Amino acid sequence: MIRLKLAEVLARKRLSVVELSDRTGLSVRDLEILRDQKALALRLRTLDCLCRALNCQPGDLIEYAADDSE
Amino acid sequence: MRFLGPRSISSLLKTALDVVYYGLYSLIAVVVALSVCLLSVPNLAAEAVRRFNVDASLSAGSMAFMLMAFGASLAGYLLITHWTRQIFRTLSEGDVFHPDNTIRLRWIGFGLGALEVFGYLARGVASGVFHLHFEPIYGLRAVTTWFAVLVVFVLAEVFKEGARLRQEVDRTI
Repeated sequence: MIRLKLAEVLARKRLSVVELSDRTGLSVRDLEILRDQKALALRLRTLDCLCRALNCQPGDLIEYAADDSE
Repeated sequence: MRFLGPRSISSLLKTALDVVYYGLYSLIAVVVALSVCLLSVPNLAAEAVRRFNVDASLSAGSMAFMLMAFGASLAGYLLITHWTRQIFRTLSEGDVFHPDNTIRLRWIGFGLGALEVFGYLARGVASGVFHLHFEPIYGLRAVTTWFAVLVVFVLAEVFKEGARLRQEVDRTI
């Protein structure tokens, strides 16, 4: 499964979702959905905003982990 | 005038359905009260029939039974109206693909089918036991309800897919 590492990146950069919301223009609710792994899909536009705001690569935000159930 | 949302055609239809819903409630109450009256005062039927100069050979018990059957079919219509009102409430709120609408549409489909079967049985009993004559229904009119049931079930699947897509969109960031 694809896992978003937003929580780890935020912790590493000592940022809150509210601050990230200010930087990206994304709503706090949407960022919380991303942080809590509740999102079903991620737009390239959103990924672009996150990478620009966090100054990182897509690979820093997303990782593939083999699902135990598979 | 728009179809969805507040002060739209759907909210107007919702109000009309509310009127029909409470009207059906009152009608069912009247029918049940009448059948109870017929059972408790059997002479009431003969008296009413005599006053209106109507030729009726049915006993008070038979009339009460038929009224009860009529009340049961009205209760079926009441349930269908109830589910339709709930669907129209979501439409008037602008929330078309509400997840509960799928199950409501399925219940409407089952209700329509059950009412049609109940109608066949009631007509069979009325003509077999009470020797009442009914006009037979031929051609496309005989299957109109079954077409409606089919359409409602198809619509339920459309709503199910719509609800799934909406959920997916809600969780696409």
